Amino acid sequence: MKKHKIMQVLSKKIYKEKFVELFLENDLTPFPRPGQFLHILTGGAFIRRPLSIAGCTENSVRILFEIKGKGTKKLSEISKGQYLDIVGPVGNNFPLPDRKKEISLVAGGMGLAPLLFLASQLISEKMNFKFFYGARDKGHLLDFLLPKGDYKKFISTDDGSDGEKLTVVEMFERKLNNEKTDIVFAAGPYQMLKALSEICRNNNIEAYVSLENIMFCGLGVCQGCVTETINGYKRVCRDGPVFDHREIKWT
Amino acid sequence: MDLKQLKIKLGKLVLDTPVLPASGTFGYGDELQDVTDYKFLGAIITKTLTWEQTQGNPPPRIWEFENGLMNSIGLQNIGVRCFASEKLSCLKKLKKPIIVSVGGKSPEDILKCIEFLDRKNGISAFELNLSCPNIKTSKIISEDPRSTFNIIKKAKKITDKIIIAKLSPNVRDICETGIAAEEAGADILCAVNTYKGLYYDWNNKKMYTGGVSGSMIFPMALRAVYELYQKVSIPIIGVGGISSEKRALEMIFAGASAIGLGTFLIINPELPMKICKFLIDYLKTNHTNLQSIIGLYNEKRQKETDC
Repeated sequence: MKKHKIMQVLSKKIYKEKFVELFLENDLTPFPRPGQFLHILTGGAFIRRPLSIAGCTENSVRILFEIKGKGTKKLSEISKGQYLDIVGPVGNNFPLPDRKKEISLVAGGMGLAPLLFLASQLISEKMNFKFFYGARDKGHLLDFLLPKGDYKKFISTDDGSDGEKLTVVEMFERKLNNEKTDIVFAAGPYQMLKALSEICRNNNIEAYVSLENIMFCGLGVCQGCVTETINGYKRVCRDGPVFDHREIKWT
Repeated sequence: MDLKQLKIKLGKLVLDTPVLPASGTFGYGDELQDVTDYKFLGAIITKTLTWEQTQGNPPPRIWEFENGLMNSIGLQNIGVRCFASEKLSCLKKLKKPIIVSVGGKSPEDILKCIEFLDRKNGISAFELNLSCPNIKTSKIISEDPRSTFNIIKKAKKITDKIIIAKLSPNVRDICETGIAAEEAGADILCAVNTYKGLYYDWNNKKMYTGGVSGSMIFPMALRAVYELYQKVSIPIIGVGGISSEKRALEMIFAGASAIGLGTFLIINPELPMKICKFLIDYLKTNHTNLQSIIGLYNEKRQKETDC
């Protein structure tokens, strides 16, 4: 069927012992867009795991994830040549911004994954942007995965073991005076996105955030992954994962 | 694959195959076409609809176990009137019997849904969700035989369409509610809905209640169908933790005329195809037909054979 695929692993790399990058043969239709995800049967957990697409070419799809529990642990043990049971691409995408706008990408932790894909797209569209990326500490920082290109990078860690000693949101806020931003695309932990949303609201900045949630179906049918919005409960898997930050009722 | 031999009649309800989706895991009916091949499904079934649009329970709504799932969706849905105007026409194009699941906070709400939908063309049957464990403001109808009897009796007066009673397994003896449903005129039983469960979240130190599904409930669901088959003469749709072709056949052996896939339709969208293939192979190898193997290994059939 169109969105249920068995896809082969083309290559695997493990960074800093717990971050896994997989390239899969690209058998997806339609062609994925930044912000969308794959819903993957890991073999280690009962339900599928939603993992952001971190990049895509004609031939391959890239995913990037942290080993956190039994599901991602089992998924990390897969080898080149083996196959994965996938539903995707699913979810909505980051809206492609107006060329005239000052764009900032803000990634916290594994929120890096979908923004790597977006950055590559912006580079190929020859659009300017700034990339703000923060992680807990040096051991969690994957800045070497940022795509090559002519854009400004700002790196931070919470403990200062690499880059600036700030959270990525604090860093973004401090640079606002010198680094004008009209529109933000962000992904990361909920509390980080909540803090970022408040700053964007106070500074009248447009922002789109990618939310995470435990998901069962990933297709919008079970209503299990909802988040509260000003327009009622919305499904993170189908109405999102990308939402206008003003729509979310942050808790 | 020649599906013709899988055609089965559940009273007046004629199904192309005995494999059905289970309400609640199939959206409004047409949304899973990108992942599963509908030709292996005997009917379309909607998520439970209520008279008014229902917002559902606050998140979180899903909790995972090693071999199962707990949910507390709280019947979030667009309401029957919106369903009739926006969704029903798309479902008719699928050319399958349409089963509409109806529920509500009170018996009156459920009857209002049936009365309204009865006037619409294209619906084959109503499944009365008498057993959602996640509506906190109301009592579960099918936990009480008397209430079960009353609502089905009233529903039968309103509509000539097929009535399926979806039963709760959270009872002392499911046969009591099954018999009550049959006596009130239910055409088909659907057993079972989810089991009441509790989940402890170590991260936020909270406990959550919900309905449990998945392979962990299969033995209990199988037993419920087995016991019902001995006590009622209307057909039974067996639902609950069917995770493979063999489990589907076991459910039929226990007494189910058709089987419902919920959790595992999502986990393995190819399961309907695999079950159909397996059933066809089984029937061929054993020179039998589908009707003959319903309840085949149930004590009731075994006794009949002895006589």
